[in-house]
Amino acid sequence: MEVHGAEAEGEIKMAVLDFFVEESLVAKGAEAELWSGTMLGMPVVIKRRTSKAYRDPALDFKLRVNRTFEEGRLISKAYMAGVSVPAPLFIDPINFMIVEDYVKGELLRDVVERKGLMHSVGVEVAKMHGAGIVHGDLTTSNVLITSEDKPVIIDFGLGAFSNDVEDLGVDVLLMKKSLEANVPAKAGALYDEFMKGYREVAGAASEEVYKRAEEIERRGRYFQERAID
Amino acid sequence: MRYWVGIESTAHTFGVSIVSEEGTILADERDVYVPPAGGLQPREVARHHTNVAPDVIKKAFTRAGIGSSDVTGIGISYGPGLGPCLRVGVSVARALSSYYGWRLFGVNHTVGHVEISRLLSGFSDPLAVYVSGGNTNIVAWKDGRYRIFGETLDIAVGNLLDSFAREVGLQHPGGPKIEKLALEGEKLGLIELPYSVKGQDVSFSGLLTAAIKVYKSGEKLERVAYSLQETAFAMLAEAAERALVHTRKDSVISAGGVAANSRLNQMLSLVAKDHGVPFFATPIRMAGDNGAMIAAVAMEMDMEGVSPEDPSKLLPTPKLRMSDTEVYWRFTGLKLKVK
Repeated sequence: MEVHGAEAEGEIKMAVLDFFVEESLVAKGAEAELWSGTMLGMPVVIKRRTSKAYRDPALDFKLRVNRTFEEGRLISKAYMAGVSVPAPLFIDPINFMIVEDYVKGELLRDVVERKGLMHSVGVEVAKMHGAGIVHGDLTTSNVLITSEDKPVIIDFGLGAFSNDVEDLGVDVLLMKKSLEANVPAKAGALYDEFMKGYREVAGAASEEVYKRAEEIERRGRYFQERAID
Repeated sequence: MRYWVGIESTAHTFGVSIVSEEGTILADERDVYVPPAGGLQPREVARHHTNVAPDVIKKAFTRAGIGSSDVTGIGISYGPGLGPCLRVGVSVARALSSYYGWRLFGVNHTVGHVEISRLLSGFSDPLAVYVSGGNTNIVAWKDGRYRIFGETLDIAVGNLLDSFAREVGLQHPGGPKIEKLALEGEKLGLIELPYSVKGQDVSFSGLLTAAIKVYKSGEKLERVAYSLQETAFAMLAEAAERALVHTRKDSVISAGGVAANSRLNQMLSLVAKDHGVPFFATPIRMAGDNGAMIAAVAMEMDMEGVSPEDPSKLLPTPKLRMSDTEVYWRFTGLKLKVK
């Protein structure tokens, strides 16, 4: 692009202004708002942790910065480890903001029975666990399916760095419970398919995770209690 | 007119109340044990309850202006709570039920707290933040029970406040004293203390240890009180907000002894406002343990056709979870009032 004098200055200003555009509010959760928009013209999703009037301002600031930073670390590490997640494009803890590549797709929840899908979800989850990351809210609503049937894991807001088999077991059990709530009649077969994919990547370690998930389910009170749909 | 009696004796309070079928609390008498120093010794408290029981019962009947023959049923708070204390109340209720032929209903103490707050609020189906010395549960009604959507993973929030108070030499109960100190400490600013929310659950033990340590290192008590209260309640508010978004309930209430704290109620009301739903703070007198909550639940159960207990078979149950009890009988549309 050719630039000339004053006009060019104006262009640059415009470019700075257009670095991000927040277009519309997609969802409002308990701690963050999700906006769709553009960054340098690319379609993006912007997650912004909102201020809470109920808490002390110093505490409010600290929590929002730390959690944005932590979630940014999780998604970046997952991305670099080759787990299928939206590309983190811009992480700005001071402004409580994470900008990610916009992934066009359907919710796993709506297409969960499609052939081979749960198998590839299992593969991605095992890759994520292999990278030392647990999701913390691994349900069929937190996986997108692209038009090429590729799963993309989203929302690491409750995630953590962990290799603890208890945490891995909770992830796996959450997925199982979510399938049971979603498609009660076929949940068993779909979970088997998921575990098959998981096993292909995690190998022998998957047995321990599988068994721990069963154990948590037996001792677990609230997974059943808390399911809403 | 039909009347129900309620007896509460799970911890430090021996309470007796009488409620009429039109939803009026006619009497609400209580005698609260205050330890000479330190915390509650269950056997001491039980002795206190045994001593005061006859008087409190008499006072309730005098206040309500009814006699024993006017009573339809009696509710007893049979758990969860301190074993020796529970035994006093359950024995008294079983005796009264057998002698006068009143229908006997075992009431889950935790359900009583949530129900009295709900019936006073007039809301039909709120999210309830139930906080007391022994319990910290964020609950909502689903499939005939109060289900726990968030809770403490270690100590209760009331226990956190009481334990801190004891460590720094304040007398039991510590909550109100900490609330007062915190007001003075606000201008000194927040000290960073461990903040632990895991999904919809909270954990307070690290916070307690850290707050005591900060105080002992020479920090002003007012400032520590402010920081402790502010951190603990922000955790509860966050967990409540997550549960509210998850359950999609259309109102929020606070219940239990710690619901007497106005800062906690202020935070919860802001959470509710943010999601466009109404909030109800339980009046102080009805937030702590009382007989009215037991009488009100007994009335609900009886009027909805729950079969009464055999007085010889009802036993104190110190360990009882909120979700252990079926609540298919709860009323909607009744707004309880205090005479």
